[in-house]
Amino acid sequence: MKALCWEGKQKVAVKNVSDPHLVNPHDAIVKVTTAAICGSDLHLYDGYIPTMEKGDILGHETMGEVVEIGPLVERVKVGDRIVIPFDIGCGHCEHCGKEEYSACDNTNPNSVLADKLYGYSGAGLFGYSHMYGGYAGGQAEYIRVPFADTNSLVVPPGIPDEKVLFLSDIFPTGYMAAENCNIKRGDTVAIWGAGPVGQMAIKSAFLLGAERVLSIDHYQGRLKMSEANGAEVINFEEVDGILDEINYRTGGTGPDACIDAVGLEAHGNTITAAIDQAKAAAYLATDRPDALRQAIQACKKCGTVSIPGVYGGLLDKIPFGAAFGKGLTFKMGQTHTQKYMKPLLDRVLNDEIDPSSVITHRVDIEQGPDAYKTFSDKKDVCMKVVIKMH
Amino acid sequence: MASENLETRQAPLQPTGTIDKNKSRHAITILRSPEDIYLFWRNFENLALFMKDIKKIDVLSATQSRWTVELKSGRSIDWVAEVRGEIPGQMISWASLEGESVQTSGHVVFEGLPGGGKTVVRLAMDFSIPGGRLTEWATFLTGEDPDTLAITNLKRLKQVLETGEYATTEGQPSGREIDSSYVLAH
Repeated sequence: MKALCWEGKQKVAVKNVSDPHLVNPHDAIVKVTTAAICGSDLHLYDGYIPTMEKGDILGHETMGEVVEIGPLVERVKVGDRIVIPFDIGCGHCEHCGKEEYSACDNTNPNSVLADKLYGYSGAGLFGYSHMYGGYAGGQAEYIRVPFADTNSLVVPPGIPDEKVLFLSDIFPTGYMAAENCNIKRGDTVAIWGAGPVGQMAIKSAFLLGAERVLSIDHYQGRLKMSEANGAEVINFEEVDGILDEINYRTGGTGPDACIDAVGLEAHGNTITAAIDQAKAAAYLATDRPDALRQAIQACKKCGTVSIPGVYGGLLDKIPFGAAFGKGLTFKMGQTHTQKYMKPLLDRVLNDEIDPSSVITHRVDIEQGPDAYKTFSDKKDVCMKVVIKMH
Repeated sequence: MASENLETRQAPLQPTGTIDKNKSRHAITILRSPEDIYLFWRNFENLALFMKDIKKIDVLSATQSRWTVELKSGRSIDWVAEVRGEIPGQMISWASLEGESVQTSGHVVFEGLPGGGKTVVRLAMDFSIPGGRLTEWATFLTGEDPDTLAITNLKRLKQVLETGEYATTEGQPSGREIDSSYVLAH
């Protein structure tokens, strides 16, 4: 089959590789119909996530048709159209039992490695480095899905792939980010990053009762989409000081909650952002957390900082004194996708939300490497790329 | 409960130095009863189904079993281990017979947690291979020392008992396959 393979920093190739086969009794093999490139794939593309190996198959936003099931798969049937969550849950451990799927105990074969780095390993993830299990990803014509009964959402016939594909990651991720803000009616939420997760978080914050959403970015095309989704926008390159601007707009109190939908590759025009860039370029730091610093600094007293943006390692100069001084609550982590897929599918089917509105580029697999480059360079207002596989 | 058994149980639980790579001490919590886990473990042939690098375990008698480990060179190394003490549903201790090329001993304790169906499994082991061959072992296996292998296998035990399989990506496709080929790159 053809697959998009990571070949090194800013190198992606289309390769012919062997087809996946059933390995474990709870596996399914899925013929991929549509996959997407995620903003977090760019962290891999740019070489920020350790333990990638040349030849790894990328992709964790995937859907398709089940073509083969293992002997112990009970619920999913051959022929079902399924969306596959990016995180792999076993469905049996203590964490899966509490719907904390991305903290699953049993799906990361390399958990010893992750234990050393993080204390305890999270779940295995599709196409997201060997520290997270080294599972082959879904930007390929076929994918093996472990624990298929747990890691699938069967979607009804008739609904287009594009409307439900993002239940695999960005819609649940934006939704959990907003849910983590503990929004009360009338709240103001500020969201750093107006990319796809930022857009999903804007829509979700309104669904959960926020009165105002501030959307912060420096790509005008993305801010236009935020505006269309009902947010007030701030282009941080056009204001004197982002923190002063947020303070002024919120009547001197700060937002009730701040969402960092940027993660470890923040761009910014502050001194600390410049230091981050220099350090990361010289491999002296792993992450560039300027959006997170601003979110902490901007947040209202006793407010909440919610972090769906991905971080990998050790962060420099986090204003922890500000966090302590204001009594902030922090909520973060990989999304427990499986918990949100079904209720959010219902919202899509009820026409409350159409996640496909973020799609800007549609390509086939041969155009995949170029699409990574376009997305990385943010050319052509590249917001979201979907890849047709079959 | 015989008092000598209790002694067996207490003695190896003394904290062991963490610097000595030949000793390992690990704990894991499994959502099964102590009785289930004890029975699964005590049938030593079960362990060969999931333990990494263990090629086979032959049960020789009620207390003795032969363990065979495959080295990366293709050669294998084996030893006979003997159960030295056990309390059904609670603990098993073992040691290799004197004169075996691998000297190893250890014990595993199963502690049921309140509410039932949940058990802390504590494993303590030590290894020595006469003639400094421990290095050879660590080098010839997948680069893992016996301590890393012990926790890896304990995690696999949990996976097998909680889900019926252990997590693996072996045999999955990748762009590293010898006969993979480029369609396009940039």
